[in-house]
Amino acid sequence: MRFLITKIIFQKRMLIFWWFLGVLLLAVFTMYFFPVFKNGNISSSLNSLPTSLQKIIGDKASWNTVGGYISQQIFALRVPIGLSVLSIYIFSNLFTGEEKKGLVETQLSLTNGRTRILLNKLAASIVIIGLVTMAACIGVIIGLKLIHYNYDYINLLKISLNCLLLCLDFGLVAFLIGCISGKNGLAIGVSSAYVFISYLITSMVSSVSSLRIPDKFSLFHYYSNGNVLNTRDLLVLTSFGLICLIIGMMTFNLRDINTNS
Amino acid sequence: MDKKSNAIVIKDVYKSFGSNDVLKGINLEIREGEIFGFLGPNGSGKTTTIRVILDIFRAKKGYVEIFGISNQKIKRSHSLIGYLSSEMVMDKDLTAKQYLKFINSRFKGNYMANAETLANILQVKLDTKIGKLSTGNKQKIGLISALMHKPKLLILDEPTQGFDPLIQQVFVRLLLQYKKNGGTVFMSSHILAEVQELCDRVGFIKNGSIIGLKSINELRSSSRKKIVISANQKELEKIKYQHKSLPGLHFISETDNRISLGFSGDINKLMNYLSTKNITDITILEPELDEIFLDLYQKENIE
Repeated sequence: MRFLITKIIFQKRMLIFWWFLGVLLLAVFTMYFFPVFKNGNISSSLNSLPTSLQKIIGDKASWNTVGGYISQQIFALRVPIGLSVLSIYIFSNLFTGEEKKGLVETQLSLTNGRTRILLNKLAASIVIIGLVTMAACIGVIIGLKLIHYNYDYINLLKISLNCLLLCLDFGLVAFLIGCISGKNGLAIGVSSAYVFISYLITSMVSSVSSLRIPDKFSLFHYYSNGNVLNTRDLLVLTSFGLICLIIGMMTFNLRDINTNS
Repeated sequence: MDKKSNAIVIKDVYKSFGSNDVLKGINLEIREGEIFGFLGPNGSGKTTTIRVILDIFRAKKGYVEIFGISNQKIKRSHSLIGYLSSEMVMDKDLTAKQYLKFINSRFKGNYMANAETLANILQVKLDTKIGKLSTGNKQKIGLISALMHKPKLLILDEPTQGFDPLIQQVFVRLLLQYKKNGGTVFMSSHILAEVQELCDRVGFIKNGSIIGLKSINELRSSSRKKIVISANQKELEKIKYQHKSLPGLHFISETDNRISLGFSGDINKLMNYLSTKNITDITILEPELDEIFLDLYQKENIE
């Protein structure tokens, strides 16, 4: 098993490097500007904005505490959306993308069973997305050191893992659609739409009461980027991912593999 | 036939894509140690059969066994197989050596020395990225990846596409050596000369059904031989108008002092028939596989 994982990680090394660097710098620079916002007059400006918009760019309290700032400015929008895009790309590229190119046909002609191939690729996807999530975590720590602020690292790790879980779930939606249909474009399109619609619904639900029921189907509803992680929400996110994985594997095991000819 | 002596058993395999029935009850037994040629026109079901054998496509009905092991037990059955398709897809961003190292890791044992020997025979450099290799060289890497772990069974789907004539000869030699070492080959091909040179038996597929299954020798002996007779004009006229008196003999063409006839049947009867004629020369030509192939498909069309 380790050989397929290492091959994938080796092949994706430049992608990992650039994403790692990008997310790391994003986190460092975001943290670096915290003192500017904390000491500025941003609170009064934010008060004048509608609640739904405040939800998107972060409520006023988040600009005053380092915890609130990390939660709102890094883990509310930028990192989860960015990592969800990466997750969808990785899951679609490694599964339906390789299938479309004909690589899965070659892999299956070796001693790899279908489940084994999927588990290898799943593990490689988790490692890649996990590494980039870690970049956000490391970036925040570097940023905190630069501005001489402290924050509970355990809590930062919890938020990061929660973010990783959310992004993996979006990737697993792409995986599920790919496994059922074998179509790469469909997998990317539907899962990307699900990310953005989910985010919009959850960010607007506090202002639009009719969105309360659709919000239950949004993964962002179960995502906590704050200090308190809800066990029930974690359970929902974990179960959702597992269901996508199991259904995806079952359908992939039953259907024909797409070939390049 | 004893089940243990079969490298591949394909039993009542049906395969459809939507409403299109591609395989309609394929039954084949490939004996251990033979080179089996799988022939058929485009779209007849050759590649689909191979993909069902490899469990890339799942049969609607029927089963496939490789050395008595279900083809769906991939780890066990596929460790006995080397596979090469007409357009082998490999990781473009790896060098040939990195790719072969990956293939090597899929099997027990270290076969890299074998891979390098094969690379020398096939004259291909292993330090180039696969994406930068020509089609022919990619195909050579595919052949190395199929042969390097010394599999018991080689499954080849139009394997020599992209090979130049020199490398095709090397390919033939490699396959004959592989057979000598006890290997079994199941190959589909369009190149009839290649099949004629390599194969012990051939199977003909048309519209998803096997329409013929014979050894190359059987095929030749049961097929129409070409007989060219030289004689004086009067004798040739007699032969031309009386040839129907011998069943299996028929007229093909006529030139100055020569007549070409086709014959399928007992060769002794032909010799007896010709001994009664006053002929000056006779040539009996074995049919080429492409003639047999066309004959078979024409018969099938008539039926």
